[in-house]
Amino acid sequence: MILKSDFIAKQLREPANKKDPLVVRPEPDLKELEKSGAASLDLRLGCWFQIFRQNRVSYLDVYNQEADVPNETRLTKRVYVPFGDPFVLHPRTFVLAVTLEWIRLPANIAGYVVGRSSWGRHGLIIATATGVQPGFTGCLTLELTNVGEVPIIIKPGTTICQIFLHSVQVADPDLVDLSTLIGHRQPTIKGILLDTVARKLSKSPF
Amino acid sequence: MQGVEYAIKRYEASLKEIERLKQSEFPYPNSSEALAELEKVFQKQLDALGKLTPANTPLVRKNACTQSLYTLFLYTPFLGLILRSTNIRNAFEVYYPLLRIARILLGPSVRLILSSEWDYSPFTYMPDDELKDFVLIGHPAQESSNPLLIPLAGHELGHNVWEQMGLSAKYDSAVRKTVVGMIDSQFWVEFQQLFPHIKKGTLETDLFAYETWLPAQIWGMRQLEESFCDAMGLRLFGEAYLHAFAYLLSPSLPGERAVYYPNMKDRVDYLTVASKQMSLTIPSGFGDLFDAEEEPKEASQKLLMSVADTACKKHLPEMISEARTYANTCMAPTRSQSVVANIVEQFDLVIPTKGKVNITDIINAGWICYHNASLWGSVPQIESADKLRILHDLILKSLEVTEFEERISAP
Repeated sequence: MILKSDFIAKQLREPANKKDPLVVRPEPDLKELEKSGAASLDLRLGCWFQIFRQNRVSYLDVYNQEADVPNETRLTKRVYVPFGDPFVLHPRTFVLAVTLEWIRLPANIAGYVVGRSSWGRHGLIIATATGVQPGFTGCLTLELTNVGEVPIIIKPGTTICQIFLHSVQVADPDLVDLSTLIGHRQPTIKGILLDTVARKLSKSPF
Repeated sequence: MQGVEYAIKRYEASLKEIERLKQSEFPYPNSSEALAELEKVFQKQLDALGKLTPANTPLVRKNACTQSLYTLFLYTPFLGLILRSTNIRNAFEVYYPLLRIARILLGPSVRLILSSEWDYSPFTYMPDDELKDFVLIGHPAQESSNPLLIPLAGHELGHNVWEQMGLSAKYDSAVRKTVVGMIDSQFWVEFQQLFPHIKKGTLETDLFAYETWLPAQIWGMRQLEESFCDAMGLRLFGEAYLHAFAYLLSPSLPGERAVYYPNMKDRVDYLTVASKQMSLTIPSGFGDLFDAEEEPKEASQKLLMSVADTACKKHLPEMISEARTYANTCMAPTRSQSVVANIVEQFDLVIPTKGKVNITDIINAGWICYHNASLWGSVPQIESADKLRILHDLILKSLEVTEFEERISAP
């Protein structure tokens, strides 16, 4: 079940479980959120970006254990853009960004991050329905691409995407997804871990 | 004119470098403003050099080159500091909350450059007229992303307050009187053995005598300034200053102590005295973290050091009082136990603070969490190796949330 804005506002104001609350910081204007009637929560662009250093890596091969998989520092460069300053996203470039909001989801809520159509219609793709697991806490990494024809200026603090929050049926509230990266204020690249099946299939059977 | 040509080339190279530095990604405008000021200084020197002709006497030409060389030596380190202020390793979220404290203490026109240095000691450059209104603070490069050490910037701000208050001038004659009085009363026998040609009662009237004890006065004054700055750091950041101080400086450096600081063991005692006066809680085992530094072996230095130490100890209560009174009058934030406890509860839930909270409370909460061995023990997603990084991120995000709230609530 998707949570509507008035329900989200109520959870933010008076969490059902104070030891496991839904939290958004900076907190949105709860009165406005209550009145909005939307089935999602708008999120703002944060100040940190991560851009890729194409010149420092030849290719990405997660299947070859011998391959030189570059670490985050070698593969990317962090950029800090203060409030008020612009970040220019050129056509066909891909960067990581982060939400301004630090979000904490309780054990019974999950979320999906999607772009805003107003930006999408100008070519800015924010994320591809990134799933946010129950128990997540931190800023959300966003994958920004400009698929349009002209450079787009974006500034930290701008409303750039939205999260749809879903209630989750829980049998064991202590069971959490350990693969989720939590507690980050900057964008992060998650390593691609192959599961057993993919690893077996990537090898010769003989 | 060969010397003039060299001097011109030096300035052309420097201005070219400034032009390149101007293209850096500045996280806040004060760094680029300082660069623009330095550009003006260098351009002025270049213009002056350009006006020299063979008609000028060799002495005039040489003096101009000497002055221009001195200016380069003076300001080149500032260029490095400004460049490093743009480095992504810095905790940029700290900048505006710290600038707000600097403005509370030093006035609304103060500009701040928060940077790093490849030197394992926080420092401040005391700017001259060319960089008036700038406060320049650097942290050790490898710790410049660590928000838990920001309280040490309180000590560095203290140096700027010391200048602004004119405390050197205010205490100069008092310290001089103390030093002379102590040599006359407590240390005369040792002094006479070292300087037998000086007669009792002539310490201030005999020019030769004056030179013998002057170092004690200079060292005493510098020790007092450092003690004032410690008191200021303590007043601004509370217990967090003690933790940050211990993190960076305990137990002590090997070898003979520096003359401009109280012996580490004394310095820690002074911090303890100041903490009690400010009703702060001294961390358990704080004093045991530190060792006494080695005293000088050379007889005259040993004696003068003792005199300086005694003078510093005598005037310490005034330093603590000056720092407290000044910060209180400016209404600088103080640590609030209830707010800190509230932030700790939020950090326990792995969430940053809500609304406007002062930097002092946020960093104190951070240190409490740092010392909590069971922090996040019940959060299975957090591995123990990742705890410190997450704590840093929570502190920095809290500072950013505070800044966000400050801006949106501004008229």
